[in-house]
Amino acid sequence: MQGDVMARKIGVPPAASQAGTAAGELRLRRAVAQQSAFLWRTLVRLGVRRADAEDAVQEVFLVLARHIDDVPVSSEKGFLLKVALGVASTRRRSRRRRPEQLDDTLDGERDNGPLPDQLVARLRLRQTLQRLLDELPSEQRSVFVLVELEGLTAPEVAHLLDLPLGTAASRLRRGRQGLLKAVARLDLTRELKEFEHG
Amino acid sequence: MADQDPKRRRWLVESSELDQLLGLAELDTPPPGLEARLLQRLREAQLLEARSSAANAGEPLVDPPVTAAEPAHISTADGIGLRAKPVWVAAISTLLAAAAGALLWWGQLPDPSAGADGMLNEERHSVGSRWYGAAEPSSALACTGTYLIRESRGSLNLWTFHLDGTLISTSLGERAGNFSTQHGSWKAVGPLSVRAVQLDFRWASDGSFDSVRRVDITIRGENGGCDAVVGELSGRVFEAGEDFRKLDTASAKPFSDTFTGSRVEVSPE
Repeated sequence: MQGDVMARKIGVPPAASQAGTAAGELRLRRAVAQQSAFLWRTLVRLGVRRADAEDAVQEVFLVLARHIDDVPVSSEKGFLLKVALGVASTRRRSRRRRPEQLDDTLDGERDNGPLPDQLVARLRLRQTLQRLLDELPSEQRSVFVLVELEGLTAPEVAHLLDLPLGTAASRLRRGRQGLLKAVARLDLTRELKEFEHG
Repeated sequence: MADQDPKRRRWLVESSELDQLLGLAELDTPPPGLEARLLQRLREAQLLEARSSAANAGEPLVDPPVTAAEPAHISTADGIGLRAKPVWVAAISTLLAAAAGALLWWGQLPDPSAGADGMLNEERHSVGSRWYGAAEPSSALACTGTYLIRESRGSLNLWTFHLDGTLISTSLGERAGNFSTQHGSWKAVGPLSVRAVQLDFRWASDGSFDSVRRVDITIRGENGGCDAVVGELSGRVFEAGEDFRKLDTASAKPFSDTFTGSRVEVSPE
């Protein structure tokens, strides 16, 4: 299974036991409570379709469930994050192979209150941001997303992803530069105005 | 989030457009009920994996331990069981049910050569389709089999009452209403009288989980038999965070209807 391959890649031995014990189950529940929203956002920002994000989060937690006895609690978030990066990468590749799949729709917005025009503008802008992020190399993208959108610090990201601090900082800098250049090529003035004024 | 630390975005002074664009990402919020759905799906996936591993290893299939939050027997508010039986209980029940069916079949099935009208009501109700509720074998009250049910508001359903006390049904409204086939349990509560409860899943337009619908049913045989039935149903929708086992947790307005039905039978030749 893909998740197990990912677990091996990040140095976790094959699953010795299932999370069937009461302690394992409790820990899994706690991890879901604490990290599911973070993982959902991160996966979406790493290019997983919104419609697929919930499945992707489940995939990540299933890997944790299989290896919960091998992952120290202190490394849990980093483990989840690394698995999520792998899952996102696989899903992006799969998405490229099946380009006919529709991307985000307005369905998720129905309860948020904005006017239809504003919703359309928001959707366009969100797709634009997604395209821009898609243009970044994946290693830059992951550091950029975690720092700029999840609010982690570069040292935190370096720790979570097992990177030297200098490497994380360099990826962040290059990611920022890449996005600035990409945005400069676009004219977003009209769309941003539509979004602001609905 | 990143906006809480303005220093972090100093680099963005070069592009207010990118600043606004990144601000949009803060609108990314997971769908409501994500956590509850994940826990449920994880449990189902773990159960499947455990079964698959056990099957591959040639071990007996045993359900993983059930946590306190998910009791093995779930009692509904009105006492009708939504059963999550251990595998061995289910296996024994199935064997007993099969044995009972075989006895009924061999001992009481009328000779098909009796003719087109050879199967009188009294006889028909004593054969395999006569039903001895698995939950209460002594009541001998209800009638198993498949019924075409017409709700007074017009919807058509097919309900199948199984010998082991389970119920499965399908409705004309499934596609339009975005809900699944219905599964549940039934119990004899009197002569030719049954109460049942069934559940289905409802999806949002994007295919994501929306809610669980619970329908409670009372059904009675007419004219002293089971060929024609009448009854009432009442339904409630339970959204994420609401517990279908507790009727008072449903925030959506309940609905109700009456129905009539007839049993689907092979025409005598």
